[in-house]
Amino acid sequence: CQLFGYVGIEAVLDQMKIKTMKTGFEFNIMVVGQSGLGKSTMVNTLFKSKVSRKASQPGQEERIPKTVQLQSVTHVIEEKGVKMKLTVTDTPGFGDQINNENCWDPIIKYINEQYERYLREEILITRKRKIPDTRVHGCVYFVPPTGHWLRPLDLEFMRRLSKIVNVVPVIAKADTLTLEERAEFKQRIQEDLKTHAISVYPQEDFDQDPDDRALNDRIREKIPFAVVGADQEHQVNGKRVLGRKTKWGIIEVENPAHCEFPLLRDLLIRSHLQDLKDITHNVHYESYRVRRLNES
Amino acid sequence: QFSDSAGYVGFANLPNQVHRKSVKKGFEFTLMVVGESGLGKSTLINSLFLTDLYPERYIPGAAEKIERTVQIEASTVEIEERGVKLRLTVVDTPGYGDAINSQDCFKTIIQYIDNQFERYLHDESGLNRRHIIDNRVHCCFYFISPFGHGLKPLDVEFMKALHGKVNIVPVIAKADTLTLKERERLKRRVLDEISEHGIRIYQLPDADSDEDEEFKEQTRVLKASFPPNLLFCCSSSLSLRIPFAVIGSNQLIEVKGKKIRGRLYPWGVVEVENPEHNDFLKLRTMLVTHMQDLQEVTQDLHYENFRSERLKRTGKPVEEEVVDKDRILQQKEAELRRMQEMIAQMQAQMRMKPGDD
Repeated sequence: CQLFGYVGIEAVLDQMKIKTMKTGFEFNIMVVGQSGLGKSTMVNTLFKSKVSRKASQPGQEERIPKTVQLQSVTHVIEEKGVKMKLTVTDTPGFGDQINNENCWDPIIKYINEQYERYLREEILITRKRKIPDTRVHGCVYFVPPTGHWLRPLDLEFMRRLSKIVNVVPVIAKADTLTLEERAEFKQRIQEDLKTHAISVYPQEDFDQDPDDRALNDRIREKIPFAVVGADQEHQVNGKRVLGRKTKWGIIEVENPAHCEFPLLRDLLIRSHLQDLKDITHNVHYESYRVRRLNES
Repeated sequence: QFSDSAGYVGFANLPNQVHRKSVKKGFEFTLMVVGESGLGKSTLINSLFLTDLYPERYIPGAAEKIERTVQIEASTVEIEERGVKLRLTVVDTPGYGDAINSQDCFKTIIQYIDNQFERYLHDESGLNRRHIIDNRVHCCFYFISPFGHGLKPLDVEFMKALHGKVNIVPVIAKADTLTLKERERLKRRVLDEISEHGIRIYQLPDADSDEDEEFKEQTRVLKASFPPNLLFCCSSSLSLRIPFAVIGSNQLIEVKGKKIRGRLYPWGVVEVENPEHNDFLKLRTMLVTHMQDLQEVTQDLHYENFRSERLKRTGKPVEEEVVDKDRILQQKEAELRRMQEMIAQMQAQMRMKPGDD
């Protein structure tokens, strides 16, 4: 129905913005991968603050635990008046043992436990005004830069987890691959994912309209992103940049010609953060809820 | 060259004679390469020996890896340089550490090494010993991931199981993923963990001041037959520190007008033979100048251990067993004859005596 004058509906957008700024929002991210793939550094780089589990236990020597542990660390970070309650769940011990069978079970259990917690709150007669959301909105999976194919462990993990959570695979420590090797590796990984019908984020099935599809298609072409993490600054051409300094050059983490970290950051934070939460709530959580209610 | 001064006997010329005979005979060397897929093993081997040992290489995808167990693949090349022949066998172990459950993945490897020892033992104990082929594994490059913080549980288990059977040289490949500081930290961690677990890796012969002379004498023999740029500062053997963090490549890249082997990145070129970039030259030098020592330690330590364990088990040395068999056969034949005689006697007696019933 065509409006023949100005009504003021668009003012609702501003109201929503102000409300979000006041209440702040929660974002829960999980990082999974073998020891030493740069998970903690990546998280620190993403949020430009020391938010990883290592940041809260400085100086501790890295020891591989005998079973998979799940460690969550929560921080409140603020930017331009917007508050974010960020929880990072790390999974030390994953894939590090000699026998890694079922090493994904503790992770699946944790994710389902968060869904359960939310469900319990939701079905109460007197519900809280705002249900605390501990559900995992995105699971970043770190693939080692072998340059070959995905390993059996990678396939098993992603196959199972992509059914219950948004999985974002990345190629870790990508500074060991030349651009050519990177492109070949990505192609093989994409083939592998297709062959095994593994649906990683952004999933094709959840594209809402042609615009979405076009945007997400461009992202899907580039997945998995080849990333490099760094928490030190160096001087390059008169500017301070985050990077890794070696004898043969400085790898600038935020330079798209060097690595795809900016793409990952944009996806997770700048453009698709709300989408990650929506899909978690509307798709993954709903599936869990339906399963549970059918069980009882 | 032979000084005729008083007191000079002339046996100082022996090393030259040994040298000449070795050059004629050529060297045999077997190098085993172990490590997870994708750690840069094949690239490094090709870089070390300036050859393509894997021309028709096929990298299997994960679906195929799920079914596979560890394979043993040996390829042999004959390399010749300045008249010196080297028959190099590289034993590859694809499948190692790839499965989700890598519990028994080194059983096949242990079996292979033992089989080579067994074969040598058999040949050594045989009657014709002129052409014994030495296929024993003289050195095992064990690849440690540059992405971890140190050794993984599988690394520890493997090295503990094999340090009594083969010379283990830990190597960190794809070292271009590490800054200098990270490299030092990783090396230190690895060495700490190795000593913590009581793992015995191959020790470079220590260089005291007088041993240094001996070392130099030994290497002079090899030096004469290798081009000068191959040998890299032998006298500072102390700087040859295991584990070596290396980068491999056979691609030629133009740097400052010269074509050198390296890897081209958007942020710079990593040069394989630049000692500031990685330890490739040190690893190559170590291997080349210690081939002899690696063979000796294999013979004197690992093989002897195997042999004495093996002989203790069967109770007697292999040759006596063979001779014993003949004797046992003779004894059995004699016994048989005696029994036959006894039976004949009994039969004769029965015929003579009438039956009681």
